[in-house]
Amino acid sequence: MVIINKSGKKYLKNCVMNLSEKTKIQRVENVAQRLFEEQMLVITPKDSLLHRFNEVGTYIWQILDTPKTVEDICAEVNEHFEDIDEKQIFEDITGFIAKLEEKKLVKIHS
Amino acid sequence: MPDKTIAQQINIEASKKNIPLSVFIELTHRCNLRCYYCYQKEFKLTKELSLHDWKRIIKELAEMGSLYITLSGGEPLLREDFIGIVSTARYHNFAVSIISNGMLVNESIVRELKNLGIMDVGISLHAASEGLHDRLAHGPGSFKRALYAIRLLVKAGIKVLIKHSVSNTNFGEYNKLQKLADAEGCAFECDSTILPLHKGEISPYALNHEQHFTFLKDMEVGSIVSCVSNKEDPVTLHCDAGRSLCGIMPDGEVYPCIILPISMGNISKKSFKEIWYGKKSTAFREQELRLEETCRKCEKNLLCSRCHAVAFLETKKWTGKSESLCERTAAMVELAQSGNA
Repeated sequence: MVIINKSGKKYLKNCVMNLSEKTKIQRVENVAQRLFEEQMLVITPKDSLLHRFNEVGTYIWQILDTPKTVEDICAEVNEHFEDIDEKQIFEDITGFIAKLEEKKLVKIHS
Repeated sequence: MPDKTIAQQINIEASKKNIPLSVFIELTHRCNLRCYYCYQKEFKLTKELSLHDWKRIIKELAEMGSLYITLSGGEPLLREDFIGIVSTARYHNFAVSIISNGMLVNESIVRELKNLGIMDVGISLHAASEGLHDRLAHGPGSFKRALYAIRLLVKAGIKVLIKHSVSNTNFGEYNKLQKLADAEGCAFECDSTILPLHKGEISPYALNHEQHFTFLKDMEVGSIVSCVSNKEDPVTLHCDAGRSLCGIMPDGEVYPCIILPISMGNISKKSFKEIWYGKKSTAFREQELRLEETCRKCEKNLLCSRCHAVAFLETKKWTGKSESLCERTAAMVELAQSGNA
């Protein structure tokens, strides 16, 4: 669920930590990964479990090769994919980032 | 039957498309121990690919979709450029596993492995006690060294697997090693497949029927047995060797699996891609679909963990049956019928 505060900033409820548009996301180093049939396979270092990302998740993971703000990620996803629901995009992306953070695959800099 | 994990799903997809998802690399035949059951015949320096060669090969494997690399030997840490090879694999984002006897693991190597972010290290133990392990490894002090290595790795936060081959010589040690692994904060992996010392014979260390039964029961394999219900599943006897699984030897020979010595080509002469999609590899895959009737029509094949390599090493024919694995399957059937499943 997305919360919009008085100043118009968006936050995602129930995230490990609040994500605003200006929050910076950085991939952690040393993650084993491979693009497999156009989908990204990533192994979480903590438990060695294999994860498979969908098309949008794969794209987000790839553009995170350099740290980016949530706002930048939303803009790039919006530009790259034609059939994206702009109203839904922030919630979907922050939800994905929250999962990445939970799996210790990204670091979040507020 | 429980849903397949993502790893299992990916492996099936890779196997269907012949993508070498998991690659086992024997970096050297050299070894500083002489383990009793070891099938290696040469422990000295034979032709070994250089770091430069491995850099080219590992890059190519990454481009072909490989994700898992296991580095073993011999003892892989005997290579002076070992860290360089691990570093190359990590540079190309591989999930790197290492199998070692632990003899050469020290603080400096552990620090480097930790920094490189490897997935895990398997340390081989023949027994849970110093006397038996050292005797079976023909290496005085080797148990203490292995335990020292395990503790250094665990302390550094590297996942460690204690690896154990169950034979008729160390039978029962697996129970003690499981406890040791728990106490040391390690995972435990054991297997009762013992490869022959010489081609054309069953290993003198292979388990007998009773030992197979006890081992399978102790490992609670019964729960797996009870899951087998699909009699029409054509993949029961199928193996991923030569499809999603590949082995590369120290001199660059490419095998369908590291223990199945059928050459698909040599990587020092051709690219990996040429070998993997070449005539020999294709012929192997086609032949794999036509295993001998003794196996295909065997009533017990649903419970059989058939292995081309064991069949080949025991009988010189990889498409036929292996007596030692038939023995294990018979024990599995008995276990299923006894109600333990």
